[in-house]
Amino acid sequence: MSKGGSGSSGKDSGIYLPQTSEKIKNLFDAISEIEFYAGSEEEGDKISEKFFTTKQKIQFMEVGFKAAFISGMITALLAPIMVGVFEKLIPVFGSYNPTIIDQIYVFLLTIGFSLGYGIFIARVGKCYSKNYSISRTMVNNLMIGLTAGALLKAGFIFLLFHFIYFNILIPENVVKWLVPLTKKGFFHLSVENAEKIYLWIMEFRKTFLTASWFVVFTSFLLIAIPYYKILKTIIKEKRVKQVENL
Amino acid sequence: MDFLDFFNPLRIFGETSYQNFFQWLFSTLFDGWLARVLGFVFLFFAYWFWVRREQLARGLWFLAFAFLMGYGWIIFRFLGVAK
Repeated sequence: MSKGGSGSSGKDSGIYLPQTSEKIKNLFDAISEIEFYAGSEEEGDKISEKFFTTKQKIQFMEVGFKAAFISGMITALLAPIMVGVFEKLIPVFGSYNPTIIDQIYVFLLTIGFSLGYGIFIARVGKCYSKNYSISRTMVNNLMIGLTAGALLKAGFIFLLFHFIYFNILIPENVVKWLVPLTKKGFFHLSVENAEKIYLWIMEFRKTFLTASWFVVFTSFLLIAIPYYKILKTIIKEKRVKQVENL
Repeated sequence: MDFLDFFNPLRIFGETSYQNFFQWLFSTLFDGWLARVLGFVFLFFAYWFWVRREQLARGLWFLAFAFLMGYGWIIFRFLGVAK
């Protein structure tokens, strides 16, 4: 980011503003940009939010949306497997009886990205000061994108997993798939093995219901962590102001 | 074909010893403390590159390795490589 000539929010306060608006490609760029503006506003006067162009607003929303959506998709893909491990249907590290370490590993593998993104994005919480103008707008736009992405993803996965449970992996369908495979001898599938597969699928389909609610919970967690940090900053500022007024 | 024979592992190892080697590899790499240690290491790097450094491609690679460490045993067993 170039920090070219000086600009100001109307007053001649000597605040350095970025002259070029580079494309915000990812979360790292967005957070850096917010931190930079917050730093400028902390040192000088408020910078008018007019400097935050429509294009940048869209870019910030896009970045937030993508972060929530991609991390959520990984969680969604791994959630049924995680529930399967906890239900002892899928082995982890070669064992159907996962130890507490194994369970932590599977849990982190599944939830880690939502949690990691949440904690990483929460860094912007400290930039949400009442004394800042442009930084607050930037944080708002990032959070709008993040919330929209998380809600959309949660809704989509919730419906998809319920659809799989109620319409795809139903006993009639599974029998319909397994019977021809057994008759034609595909994969050397015997009747006994087909029966075992049927019973396993019937147990595994239940994981989709638990997983769908788990995805809703992780989506909530992803947006709750940054909002908590923002709220903390607001409360802290209010307290400081109250002390100053005394 | 003589040139390709150079790459054929069965030219050096016997079929049984080659299979035994892979059985040993899968039983140690995907099943046991080594799998757990490597899994956690890969998971750490996956977070580091993806979340902290925002390098999605590297993060996904490490995530795939972490996934393989955790579920490699059943995947290879399903494929018939390990028994």
